[in-house]
Amino acid sequence: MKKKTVAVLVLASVALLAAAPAKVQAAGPRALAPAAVAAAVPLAGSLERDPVAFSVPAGEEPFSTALPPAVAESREFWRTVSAEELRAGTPFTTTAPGAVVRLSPVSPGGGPVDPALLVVETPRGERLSGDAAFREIATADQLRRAGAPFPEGSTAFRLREEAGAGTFRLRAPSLEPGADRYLLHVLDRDSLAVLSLRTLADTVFYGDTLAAEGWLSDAGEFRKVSFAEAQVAAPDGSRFDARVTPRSDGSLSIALPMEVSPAAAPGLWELHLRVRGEAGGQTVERAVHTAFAYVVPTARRIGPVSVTSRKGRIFVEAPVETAAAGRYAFRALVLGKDGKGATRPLARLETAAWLEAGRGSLRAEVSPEVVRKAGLRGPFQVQEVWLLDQSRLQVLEKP
Amino acid sequence: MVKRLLGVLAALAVALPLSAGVTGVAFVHGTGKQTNAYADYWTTAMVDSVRQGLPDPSKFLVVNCDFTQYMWASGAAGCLADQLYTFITTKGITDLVVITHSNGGNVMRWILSNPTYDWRYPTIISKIRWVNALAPSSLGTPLANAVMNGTVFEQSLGWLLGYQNDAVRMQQTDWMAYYNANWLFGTAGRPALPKGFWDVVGTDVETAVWDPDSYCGGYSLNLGLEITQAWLSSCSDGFLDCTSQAGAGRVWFYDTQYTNGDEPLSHNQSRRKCFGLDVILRNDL
Repeated sequence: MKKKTVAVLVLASVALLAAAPAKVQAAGPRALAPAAVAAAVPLAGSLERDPVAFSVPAGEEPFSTALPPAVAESREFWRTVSAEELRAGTPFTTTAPGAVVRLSPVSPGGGPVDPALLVVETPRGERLSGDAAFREIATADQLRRAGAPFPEGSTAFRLREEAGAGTFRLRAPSLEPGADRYLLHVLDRDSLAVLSLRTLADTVFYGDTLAAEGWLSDAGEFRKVSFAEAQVAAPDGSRFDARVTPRSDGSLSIALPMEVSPAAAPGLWELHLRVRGEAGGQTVERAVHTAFAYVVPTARRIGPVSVTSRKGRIFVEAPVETAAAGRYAFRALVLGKDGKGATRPLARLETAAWLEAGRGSLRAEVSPEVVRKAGLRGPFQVQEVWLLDQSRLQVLEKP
Repeated sequence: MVKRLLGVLAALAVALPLSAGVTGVAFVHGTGKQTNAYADYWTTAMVDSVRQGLPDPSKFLVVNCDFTQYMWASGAAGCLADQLYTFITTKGITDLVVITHSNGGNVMRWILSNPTYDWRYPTIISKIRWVNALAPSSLGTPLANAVMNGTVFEQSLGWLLGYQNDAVRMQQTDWMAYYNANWLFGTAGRPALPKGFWDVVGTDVETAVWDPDSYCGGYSLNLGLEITQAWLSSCSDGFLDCTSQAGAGRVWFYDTQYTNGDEPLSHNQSRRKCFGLDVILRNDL
């Protein structure tokens, strides 16, 4: 089946879930986090002390201010297998020919599995090795030169299409006793069985619940799963089990109350889901992940953004309250009136400053040159307000 | 067409004696830590050919930074800003063309999208004419996802996480989707970047042993490519799908539209003097 058709069918399954649309991040200021929690978020971003303001003419291109979270899709799965399991033969199932398989030693110093020693038992009962089994083979070094830095000791191969699809058994009968465990990673490239996952918002605030939904589809139709588990991974390596609840339509509801401390390292958090289910007449495994931001509200607006103008100059001010010192930024679209009284975009404005804990404000003047070129007049207003913590790389408020 | 018209206008503006400015070009590498990108990443042949398009060919900069870090980190965007700002101020650059490759496009987009993050950013932005982004990883790559896969649910987490650098982690497609929706401009549904961001898209990889074109940019018996292509669509440069390369800004051209012999540019070839790419970039200055 061509990939284009696969893509259409996956989109169709997404459309089915549109009946429960993804919720966009709630607009408006959030309650501040306790000071101790706010101070625990690492200062991994800008520590710039000088205030900086910047404005440019607003473009005419329409743009959405609240993009729904992306849907992650996967035709892959992975699990660790012991050397003993590899020597005896470890099964894996595909639903389309030509799957790619990667073996990586799990711990440092673990040696690669020599592909010349691998034997593949096909669904038809054939025992194949070497060129009879694999269309291509690549070492970690070759993969790295191709742009994919898989771990040291990795071996990857692509099964010949003639080997078919179904349950294979991968054996390495000559593996040394006491050798490491290995990560078995399978890409069922042309499969119609796809595991999809999306969070209902791309940002989860401290104290809120991470909510997500996943679904296994086969040629665009939902498939119920017999097993599912979900974990949330923090950028510092911490992991938390999430609750998975099957729905009547076969999809999965996933939730985790985010009553966890901020990570000790910067970066996004990830929600991981893996399932087993029936597709294409086989029991398939699939794993997928998607990223989200876990935000501790270190600042919030405590009033509307004011826009004042005098003698052709436009000033904008956003009152804020901060739970911890940091560099905070405010973005907005400034609008004015044209000669016919219609409201038109004038400028996009951003201003940032270092604020200590407590109450303060972020203020800026729209560049006089930008104002002059726009040729618009008052009353002026702002829309699409964003509040950012640049020092901690957090989006605190967005439209 | 739009870019060519802008280029003609820019050339006219430069030619007029009353608008005497100083044009410079900066080369910004991709993922990795570079100490001599002039020789190693781009090659001197590529850089020296492109900079001949400048009124003063000495006004060039080849950036060396640590792009194994997250794009906003001091060693990445901070380093890039430092070198661009110094170049602009010490050489009196008033008209800067930035040429990026791969993840270098993301680091440059960080600067363009977050002008108040660093006091140097507004100056840099104001001097940029446009960015020519060669094979930018604007929407990430499924290869980064594949490399990171397997680090949760299993006990392999610690070592495998430590093996991978932050730039690989960041270029996963779901991570880039978040950053594009929240911190970066220029992708669909988002505000435009303050300066032009023009994509050069590589559409294929040719690794035939008998084809001399496969050797431009260095041919490494790339059996690995046959495996990695499995994660990519039919239109890709061997590391990035075409959709990712075209995901931010505007497409200047797909490789075969302008290269000599209509040759495609693999991810490696799009930073090298291959199939007339250097001449195209030179003429753009």
